[in-house]
Formats: sequence, C-alpha cells, structure tokens
Amino acid sequence: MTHVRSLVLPLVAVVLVVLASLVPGDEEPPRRPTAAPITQTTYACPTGSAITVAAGQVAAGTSATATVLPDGSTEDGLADSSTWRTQRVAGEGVIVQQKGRSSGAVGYFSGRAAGAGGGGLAVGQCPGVADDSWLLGLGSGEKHLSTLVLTNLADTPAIADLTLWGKQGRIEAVDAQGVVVEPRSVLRVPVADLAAGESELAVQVHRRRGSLSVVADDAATGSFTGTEPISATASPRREQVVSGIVEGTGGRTLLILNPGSATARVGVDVIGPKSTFTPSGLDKVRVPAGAVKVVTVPKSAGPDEQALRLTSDRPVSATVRMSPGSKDYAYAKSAPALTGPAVVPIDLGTQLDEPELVLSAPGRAASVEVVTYAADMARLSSTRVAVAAGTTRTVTVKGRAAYAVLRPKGRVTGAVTYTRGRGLSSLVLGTAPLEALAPQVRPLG
Amino acid sequence: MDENETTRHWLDDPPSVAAVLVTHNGARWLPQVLASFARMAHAPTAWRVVDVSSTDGSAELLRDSFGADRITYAPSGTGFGDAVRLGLAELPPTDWVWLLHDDASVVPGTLSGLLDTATSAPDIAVVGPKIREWPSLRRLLEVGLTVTSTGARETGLETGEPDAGQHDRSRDVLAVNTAGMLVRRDVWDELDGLDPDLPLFFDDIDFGWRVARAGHRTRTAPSAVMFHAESSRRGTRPRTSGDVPPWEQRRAALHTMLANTPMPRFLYQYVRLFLGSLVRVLGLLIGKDPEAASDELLALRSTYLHPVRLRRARQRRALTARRRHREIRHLMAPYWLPYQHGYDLLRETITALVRPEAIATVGRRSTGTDRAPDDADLDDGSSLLARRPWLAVVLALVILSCVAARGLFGGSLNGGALLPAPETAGGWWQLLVEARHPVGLSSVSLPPLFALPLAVVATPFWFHPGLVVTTLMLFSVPLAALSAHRLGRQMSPHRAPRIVWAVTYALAVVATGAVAQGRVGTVVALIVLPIIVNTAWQLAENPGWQLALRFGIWTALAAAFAPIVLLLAFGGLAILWYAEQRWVGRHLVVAVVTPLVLLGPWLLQRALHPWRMWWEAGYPVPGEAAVKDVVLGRAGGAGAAPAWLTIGLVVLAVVALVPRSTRFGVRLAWLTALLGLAVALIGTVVTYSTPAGPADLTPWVGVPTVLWIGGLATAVLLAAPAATGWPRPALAAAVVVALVLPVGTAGWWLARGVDGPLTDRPPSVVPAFLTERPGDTLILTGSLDAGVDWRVVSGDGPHLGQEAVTPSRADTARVTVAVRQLLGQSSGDAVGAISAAGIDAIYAPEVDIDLAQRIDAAPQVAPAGSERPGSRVWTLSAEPHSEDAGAPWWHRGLTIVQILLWLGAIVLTAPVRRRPTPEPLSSDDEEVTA
Repeated sequence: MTHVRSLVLPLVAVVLVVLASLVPGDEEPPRRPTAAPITQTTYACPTGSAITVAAGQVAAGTSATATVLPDGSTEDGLADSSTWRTQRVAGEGVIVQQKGRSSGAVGYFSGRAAGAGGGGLAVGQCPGVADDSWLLGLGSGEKHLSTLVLTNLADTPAIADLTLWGKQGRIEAVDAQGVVVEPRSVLRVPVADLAAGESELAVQVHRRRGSLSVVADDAATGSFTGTEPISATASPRREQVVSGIVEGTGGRTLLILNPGSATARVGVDVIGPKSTFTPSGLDKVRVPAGAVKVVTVPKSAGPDEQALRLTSDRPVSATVRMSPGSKDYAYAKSAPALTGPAVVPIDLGTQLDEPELVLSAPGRAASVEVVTYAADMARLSSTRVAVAAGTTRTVTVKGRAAYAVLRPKGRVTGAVTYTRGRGLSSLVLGTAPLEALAPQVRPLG
Repeated sequence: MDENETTRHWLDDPPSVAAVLVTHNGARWLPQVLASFARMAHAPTAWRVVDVSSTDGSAELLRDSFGADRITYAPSGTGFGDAVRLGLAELPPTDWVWLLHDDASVVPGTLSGLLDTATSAPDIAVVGPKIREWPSLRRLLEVGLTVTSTGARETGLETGEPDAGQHDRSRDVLAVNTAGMLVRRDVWDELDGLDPDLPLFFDDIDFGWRVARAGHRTRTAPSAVMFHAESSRRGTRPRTSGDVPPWEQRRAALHTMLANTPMPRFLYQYVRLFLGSLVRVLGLLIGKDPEAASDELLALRSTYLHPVRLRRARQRRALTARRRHREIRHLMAPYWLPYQHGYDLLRETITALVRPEAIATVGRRSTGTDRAPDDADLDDGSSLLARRPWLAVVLALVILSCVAARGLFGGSLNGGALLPAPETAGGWWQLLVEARHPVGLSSVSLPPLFALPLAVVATPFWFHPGLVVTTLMLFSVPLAALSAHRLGRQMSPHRAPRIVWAVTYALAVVATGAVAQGRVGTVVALIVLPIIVNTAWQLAENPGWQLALRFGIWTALAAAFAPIVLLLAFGGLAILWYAEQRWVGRHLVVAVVTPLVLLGPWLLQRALHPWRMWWEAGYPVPGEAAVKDVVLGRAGGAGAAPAWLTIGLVVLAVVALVPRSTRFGVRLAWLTALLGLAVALIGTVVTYSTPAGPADLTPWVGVPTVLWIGGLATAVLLAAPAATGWPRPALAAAVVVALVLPVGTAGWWLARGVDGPLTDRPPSVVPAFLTERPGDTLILTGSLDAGVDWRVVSGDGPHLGQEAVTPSRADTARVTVAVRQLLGQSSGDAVGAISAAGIDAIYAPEVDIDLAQRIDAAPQVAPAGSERPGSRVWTLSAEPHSEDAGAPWWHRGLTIVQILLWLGAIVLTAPVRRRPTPEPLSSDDEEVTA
C-alpha cells in the first residue's frame, strides 16, 4: 500500500506533462504589412512657360511647400494645403510636399504644346517616388521622340537604371545603367540618346538609390501627331485592364511589352458600353519575349468608349495609344482598380472642355459617387454613377467645379479624358495617397 | 651553529657588553629565560635588571638569579626605553649594550653570534638576532625589520615560515627587535636611546630608522638565535595598571611614520595616513571587528590631536640625521607591500565572511576545494585519484572544460543571449550608479542588480572584466560540480555515488544548452542553486536568523541573474516547511523577506508583470523547449545534449521510491523535482514581454528544468544505500544506467564543445565607422513582408547589463512610429523624428531590398558604405539631438541604498570578531635538536 502511495509522485509528474501538452501553443501571428495613414506626400511636376501646375487633395492638409527647381525657391501659389490651387511655375520642375494625416495630396500639370513640337493638349499627373516605373509608347525615331524627365526629390544623389525594349527586342542602350540625378534637380534624358531610331519603345526606370520620380514627354509629327505626357503604366502582370479608351474606331494602337524570356500569349477582351466581348483578331496575341508588340485594335472592337482587359500567360505591360483625329493623341494606361477616393482635376489652369469620365467595371456591377468641389474645397454636387458588370460608361463632369472626388463602390477602373478643340489628353484614375502599406514594426530592446 | 671560537678575532680583545634585562610580570617565562642565560658560551661583561613593578613573583626570581644589587626597580608605567635608560645609569660604560626581554630566551651562542657580526665592520651600530617562536620552535618570527609606507611592521617573512636556514645570511636592515638587540653604547648615547614617546611598540623601528639616518648600519646576525614569546603583542602578559592601552600599537606606528618621514613627503604621508586610517576603520567595521576599528580611531585621535608632540619628535630627529632619506630608502619596504597587505586583509575579511568558523559545512565554502573530514587522503594507493578522488574529478572537469571550450579563450565572450563584458569593470559600476543610461535611446530605468556582483567580482580584474564572464561560462561544469558536491556531503556519506551525482548535476547545466546559448543568468543560477539548497537544508536542521539571512542572500544573488529562482526558492522553502513542520515563523520570514529587500524595486519591475520573471541576465532570447524536452532535462535550442541520455535517470528515480528505508528523503527530492517540472512546464505554455522591447517571448526554462533533473538525481543518490542489498546483476545494471547520463553527456560535451552561438569573436553590432559618429545607430532587421524589428545602439553596442535597462515607452513608441512611417512612406518627418531621438545612422545588417528602397527614397538620408556584404548603411544629414528628460532624482540614491543593503546583509551573516585572546603557548614537542 505504501508502495502505491509512493507512485503518486510520478503520477503527478505525468499529469503535469499531460496538462502542459494539452495547452495550445502560442504561435506568433504573421506580421503582414498593414495600411498606415500617409502623413506626408511629395511629388514632382514638370514645369515650363506653357505648363500649369494644379495641386489639391482629398482632405485639407496641415501644411504644404512647393520648391522650384533648380534654384530652390519656394512657390507660394501652391503652398496652401486647404485649397485647390493652380499656378504657372517657371523653372525645370517643382517639388510639392504636403503634410497632413490622410490628406491625399495630388498634383497635376497641363498645357498646350506648340505646333512645331507636335501641338496638342497635354495633361499629366505629377508622379511621386516610385521603385520601378514602366513607360510604354515612347519613341526615338520616325518623327516620334520622347524625353525622360527624372526628378530627384531629395538632397542626396539618386541613381537610376534604365532598361529599354523595342519591337525587335531588348535594346542594350549605352549609359543606361547608373544614371545619376543630382540632389533636388531635374534630369531630362532624350530617349534618342539611349537608343536612336526606334519608333516604339518601352522603358523601365528602376530606382537604384535615392528619391526619384519619373515621367516622359512624348511628341510625334509622323503617322500620329501631337503631344502627351507619359506616366507609368502598371508593372508587368498577367491580368490587367487598360481603361479610358476614347470614342472612335481609328487610331487605336495596343502596345504590349513582354519583358520576360518567353513568348507571351495575350487574350484581349473589350469592355464595351453593353458587355464584354472578344473582338476578332485579338483573342490570341503573341508577344515575343523581350519585345514590344504593336497591335492595331480592330474595328470589331467597336467605336464606343471602352476598356481592354488583357489576360496573359506571362507578365506583360500594356497601354493603348489613341489618335482618333489627326491633330493629337493620348494614352490609355493600365491601372489597378480604385481602392479609395480618386481625385479628378477639373480646373487645371488651362482652357479645357468639360472632362469626361470613362469608367469600367471589369467584374461585377459597381458604382461611383462623383462629388464635385470648388477651389476652396466646398462641396458643390454629388452624383452616383452605376456601372453595369463588364461594361464601360462615360460621364461628363458638368459645372464649374475645381475638382471632383470619386468614391468607388465595387471594382472600378477608369480614366478622365480632356479635350479642347482637336486637342486630346487622357489621365488614368488612381487612388489618392491616403494610406500606404507599411511593415509591422517593433522594438527589439 | 656557532662558529669555531678560534676563528673569532674579537676574542683576542673581547668588547665589553652590558646586558640590560627589562622585566614586567614575566614570571611565566623567566625561569626558562634565566636558565638560558646561564648556558651562554660568552657572557656579557656586566648585567643589570630593571623590573617594572612586577607583581607576579618576577622580582623573587630575579633576586635569586642576579642578586638584589643588580636589580633596579622602576615605577609602574615605565616604558621599555626608559627602563633601559635606568639600567644603563647603573652600569659602567661599555662598548656595547645588549637589550633583553623577560620573555625571550637565548641559546649558548647568541651573544657570540651577535658579536661576530657587530665586530665585522666599524660602522655597524646595531645588531639583531634571528628570532624564533617561543620556546624553541622552528617557526621564524623576525630576522630584521622594516616598515611599509602605511605604517605596518614588516618582517619579510611568511606567516609561520619555518627556519630552514633560508635567512642565514647577514644583511643590512632598517631595524631589529629590541629583544636581543646589541647596540653600540656611543650610538645609543648619541641618539639618546629609545624614544620615550614609544614606550612599548615601534620603539625598535624608530630607533633603527634614526640609526640609519645618523649614518650607522643595523645588521642581522642569523647565527645568533633567540626565542621570543611576544607576550605584549599576543596579550599573554598579565596586565597591570599603567600598561599601554591596546590602541598604542597603532598610535606608535603613526607616530613613528610621521616623526621620521622627511619633508616634503611628510605632508603627503600626513594626509595619506589620516585618510588611510579612516578607510581601515571602514574595512574593519565591514569585517565586523569593532574593537580594532575603535583602536584605529583612538590611535588616529591621539596622533593627530598632538601636533606639538609630533613637531618636537621631528625636531629631535633632525638633530641627529646625517644621511638623506633617499640613501636609506633601500632599507624600507617596497612600495607595493601595503597593497599586498590590503589584498591580504580583503582576502582575510572575505574568508571570514565566507567561512564562518562556527559552521562546519556551509554553502559558501562551495567555491573552494577545501577538504571535508571525509576527504582526507586515503590510503588507497599512490595516485591522486585513489588518494583524493573528488579533487581528481574536479581537476579532470577543469581540464575537460578547457577542451570543450576550445577556441573560446580569445576574448570577451558573447553571442546568443550573452552580451560582451564592458571594457572595464567600471562599466558595471557606472551602470549601477548612473541616473540615466546612455544605451541607444537613453533609459532612466533602474539598473539590473546582477551588475552589482559582476562589478564586485570584476573589480580586481579592472581592465579585463570579461574574465569573470568567461570563467563563469566556460568553467560552469566544475563550478557547479563544486557547489553540488558540497551539498552532496550533506546528503550522502557515500563517496562514489556522491561524486557521480555532483558530476551529473554539473553536466546537466551544459546539457540544457545554457552555455552554448550564452545564458549567463541560468549558468550563475545553477551554480548557486545547490548552495541555496544547502543553506536551506542547514536552516531546517538548525534554524537561526543568520542562516535564514544567508539563504536570502544566496537566493537574491541567483534571482538577480535569473529571477525565476525566487519562485523556486520560495517553493523549496514551502517543501521544507512541510517536511519539517517545526520552523519558527520568524526564520521563514527572514528567509523570504531578505531576497525581496535585496532585490528591491528592480524586482518590482519584473514581479508586476509576473511572466517577466523569466527574463534572465542577457538578451531576452526566446526559448524553444517543448514539453518532451523539459521532461528529459533539455531546454531546447542550440547546444542541448541528446535528450535520450536522461531516460535512464527518470527510470531510476521512479525505482528510488521503492526502498522503504530511504523513502522520506527520496520523497523530498521528488517534491523538489516536481516543483522544477511544474515551473518549467508553465514556461512552455506562457509568453512574456519586455518593457518597451520584444513581446510574446517564449521563456527559456533552463533553471527549473535542471532543478527537475537535479531532484531526480538526488532521489537516486539518496536511495543508493538501499540498493547495496540488491542482487549483483541488478545492482550492476542500475550503476550502468546511472552512469549513462554523466558519461554520455560528458562525451557529447567534449565532442560538440560549447560554442555556437557563443563565440569569442568581437561582436560586430554596427560597422566600425559608425561607432565614431556622434549619434546613435538605428539597427533594422527583418523585411517589409515579415515585419521589421529595430533597436538603437550607442557606440559599438551595449554590454552585459545594459540590455536590462529599457528606454521609456514614450520614446520607444515615438521611434516605432517613425520607423514605420519611414518604411511606409519614406517621409522626411519620419527622418526628423528619428534624428530627434539622437540617431544619426541607420544600419540594416541583412537588408531586405524593399526596405532599402524605402529608406533610399527618404529625404535627408544618404547611403554610406558598409563593411559586410548584404548590409546597408545610411547616414542622416540632420544633427542628432536627443532631448533627454531628467532622470528621477531618487534613482541614484536608491541604488546606493541597495548596495549598502547587500553589504549590510553580508556583514550581518559574518561572525563578530573579538580582540585576539591569548594564544596558548606551544609545547616543547617541536623543540629544536641541536
């Protein structure tokens, strides 16, 4: 009996072990990046005598500064973070820095090019710092010339690596690696200096070091005529929607870059006013490895405003050059669906017709609330626009508003088209910078 | 011994010698002394006896021996020098004067030997004999004297040094003892004899000093031997009124030093001796010797409150000084001797603290290889292993430790949880006393208490404090074995099982992986743990407040390194209380309250968040132990021994419960083991967070796991005697199973070593060039997708102890937000906020490309070169400006109070010293044979 009592102690040990084994483990949850409100936004706009810069935001910021390059002077006309403001700025560029929690500060530039340079209307978004910028539609020959505009937003040198592709494949450009942009300066690089004689080019600008923004000036006087700023299209991916294709069956050229090492097979669907369909000839576009494929959008795609949905077995980038008339052209770019408010500039400081929104719902039905504001950010009007599933519809923003804010419900992509006379320009809609994904951070003691 | 008299040239014309014997209550020794005089080969020319008020029958003895007409009676209180002066007044002038004590006997050739030397050169003025211990022992007492700069009488002999002829060369010295001193009469008269201000002590050194300054020589005569009872120094002479007080010895030393030291060194000595005496008072109080401290103070008062007396003494010496002091400097003790004496005193004090004589066996002795009665040499054979098996085992463990630690002796250990030691021991002291800790983001938190013992132990190795950590880590096995074996002596009288048990426990420390992972907290705690158990054991057997206090101190020491020990110690006390059921409550209260008080507010920082008790000394590196690891005595992670080695021990521990005769002790051991198991298992299912640091950390359970294994091993040890009756095959099988764990672990230990992540390579926390920058460095690790960890380091990184001081939550939160902002949106505001925290560089040791691009995009951030491939460095262009808030004013004082509390507690555990009682005189059994 005493022996048995003594075994109580080992039994207690066994019970303790069993109990401990039954307690679930305390596994550390994954530390995925989470959205964090943006408190400071910086972007760079090209400037010039014919260019007007517009600056605004979704919500009033706490402060803003505008630094003119290269002399570093400040531009007070763009420094009020609680209004929509436009200002013509002398110099090579202007860096606007705006503070405020989830202010959603954005900047745009617009102007009319001189006839000698191709003429036409140019509206573009002032880009912020990007790690990789994919620019399609550039040229360096056959009367189609582009210039890269690299702006260093910080006070330390920036370094960029440029990679170029043409219709025949990747171009080994001279001096394209390690391009240094001095602190707080603008570097204009004619693409012809890197690779001359190419009518169609795609460029990837990789920011190796520093704080760098990228945009391109594009002008043509050949088979198409006009001027258009080229901002980055979406990075190569297997599915994407090129939004904001304007009305008119002619002059639509789909440019597809396949930066990979294997041929990409791309299927193209048209998201039209009534439905999504596959036009004949675009069901299987083969894009050679490491090359730019130029595809004329067939008339079977229809004349209406539309978007193209590209599905590929390899990551590709795409954009559509639109030249419905003979005097100007614009680019419709690929952009991800809106995930938050998007700003539509209306008052760009340049005489323009009422802008037209081209909204597409590539998946299910969606809607967009369009709210217009005066320059002092006073709310003027509000309209909800429904977009049927797999369709594209256009909305003209009427009234004398300074800007509009779109608030999507559902998956919506789109662009805004500006015209004036025979001038044409298109601006892809992007989500205003209210939040950014930031890593989870913790002290290590 | 004596030279052939025919070679003595002085015998042709023997110099006249007047002997003066001064007596004072010396009846105890006089019969032998007087008898020795009668046997002298060469006797003095004239005798005079001066009796200073003897009341013990000395006068009768003297009268019988010398006759009344050769005795002078001096009044009570007459000093030795005055007594000699009285005696000489009654004697005719002679060439030499021979001074004799009533407690010093001579041999037949003493005077001849003195005269041999005295007549060997004309400038020799004083000659002294070789003095050995009374009555005729071989132990040397003096062969010449000198004095240190702190006023310590210096013989140049080791304590108890036997006379083997090693000092039988005559040499010049500063002074010789007045017992047997042969001094030239003209020199005596020139210097006016011994100083009346020095009636008993230091009169000899003072006289020799003056002789030397006067241009004469004092020389030893080793061929002349005397035996001295040193009755005044030992206090064995019956005291009467008029005798000098006990503090006179120190006063005489101070007086002699100040009276004889020439200017300008006198000024320095005046201040130094004053301050030095105060330090001695403090040291004596710490050593719990209040009477000696009181003597020191009284001597100081007597010396420094009589400047006129001192001035006159200096004037008198100036009149006779004919040589510069530098000419006799070679006669003084070397400059470093006081420091050696200080070290000896410190060692003596610590020995007194660590080895109280009243206690036969205490844990404190565990760090020495002292011998217990049963460790006496065996007659088993000639080899060390056969004669002293435990010593041989310890030596073997030391050698094996050196082998296992191969490649780790190159510098300061670090790696895993272990941070490098500071550059000097001052780093730990500074950590303790500074109000604000400049560790990256500055901190005002209370310093970790484990820095205190580290600082104390490392102070003797001031410029190499890493030696302490290296010794603890690399020799943890022999150290733990020593402490365990000391406990084993309490538990088992059987030598072989006890040794196996101690080695098993010691190897369990490395088997957990604690050493390889740099868990210095666990290592120290496990070395101390057997001492805690030992003290608790004694406390149970012999309750007393000093033992309870000692239990609390040891618990506090271990808990300072590994706070979880506190819980285990209290649990262990509860088990003992349950087992004994007779404790007086106040002993329990003392044992519990002491560590709480000694750990103080620092403990509160941990105890307020209970699971934080798992955070040990060093980085809070998470543990990886699974339940099965704990059961088999492993704590998971790098450097853990194969778990299967422990299976046999678990089986034997269960079997140990069977024998009825040993069941009580075995149950106690099992209860202790279960305490460890329970705590360790809790550690596997909880997490803890550090203040403003890493969160949700799985505890490292090394300490309770070893308690579990140690408890099981103890159960087996206690049951071992009952197994002697087993059938031989069963006993052999049990022995083999019991040896699997220590032998297997030792083999694995030697084969694997203890490195990785532990290393001796200098830690490269940040690139070298960043350490020269004025600001701190922000270190980023991780990636955007998996999360980023940051820490801020100052200079070349923190040292051991600094990891425990944490910045404020507000500062931490600010930097966390700024880093997230920087990596999320590359904003200039974030850079500004980082600069405002005193940071001027960012370092990413293993950079994530996305992360680097985000930082690259930020303004005011410039990339810089990095030394390591794959890493990136950025410097911030803004000047770092840290706006440190003031530290709480009470922090520094609190830490000092804490230090004093430790000191007080340790002093309280030591026995109080009393003035030395007279040592019994040795018998004649060691008498020298001719």
